[in-house]
Amino acid sequence: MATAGMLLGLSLALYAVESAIPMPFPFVRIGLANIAILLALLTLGFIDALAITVLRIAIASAVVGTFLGPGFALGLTGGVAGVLAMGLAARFAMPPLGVVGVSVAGAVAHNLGQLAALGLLYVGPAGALRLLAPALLLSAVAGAGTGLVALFVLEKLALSGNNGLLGARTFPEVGI
Amino acid sequence: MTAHISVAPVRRGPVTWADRLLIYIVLGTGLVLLFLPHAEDGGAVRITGADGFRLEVPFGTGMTLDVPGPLGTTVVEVGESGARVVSSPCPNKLCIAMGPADAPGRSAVCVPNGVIVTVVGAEGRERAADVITR
Repeated sequence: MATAGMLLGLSLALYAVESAIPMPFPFVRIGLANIAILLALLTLGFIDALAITVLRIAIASAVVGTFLGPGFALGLTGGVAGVLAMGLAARFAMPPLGVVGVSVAGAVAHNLGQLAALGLLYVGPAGALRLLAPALLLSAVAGAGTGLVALFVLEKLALSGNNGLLGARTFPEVGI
Repeated sequence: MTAHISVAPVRRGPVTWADRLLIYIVLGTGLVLLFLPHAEDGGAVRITGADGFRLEVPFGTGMTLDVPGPLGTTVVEVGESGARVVSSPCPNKLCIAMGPADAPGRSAVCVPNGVIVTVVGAEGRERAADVITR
């Protein structure tokens, strides 16, 4: 439980940092907070990761003042889609797929979910489709990047012999 | 296990072939969609004639249409990004001289024969302003 709280705080901090980075396309994110979500997913399990995702979005939007506002539905849809995709990928595709692949799947689902919500609620299918290509490209790169960071963290944890953060899963590709 | 941490993908390293495959698939799809020639823009041409003749033709179809009117048949050609009047039975042929209608809101019109060719956006809108000056 304490670990979940810590990861929630981490995801909030990462989200705050990410919000300060200007992006050419609105609503298309790098997903730095996904590093914490991914770690939660791989060490604590899907339910915790889902809870952290929803809580992170709720708290962040409440603090910024956009709770239940226009951007809120987009963030929620994207976040839930992302953690769902990562959970499915980790559960069913993990042996061939690694941490980076799960992260990429999550990033793609996150951005696609946001675009779907954007198209449904605000700009219509034509407007959303125009953002599809850059969203896909960005999510591939960003997902790989955040996945590598998460992988790095897991490796570091394995090396330091810290069992507190690691759940029942083993990561043979990392050597745990 | 050695203390050396390598983040670069190595042959049997933590970044698997499936990871790389997924990344390539996503990147490839994104690149293909990026260079798709305006498949999603979907502008169209609305042609109105006499007697309630009305037709909407999307760009890229390469059609030539014969629009009937009181004076005869006005031939309209719809191309990749615009539509123009090819021939018309009117005396002045202004409609042909006007040039192609190639942007939302632009029109080619044959007044004597009652033919109006207008470019509309994908959602059926016409742009509000004809000209913007600064």
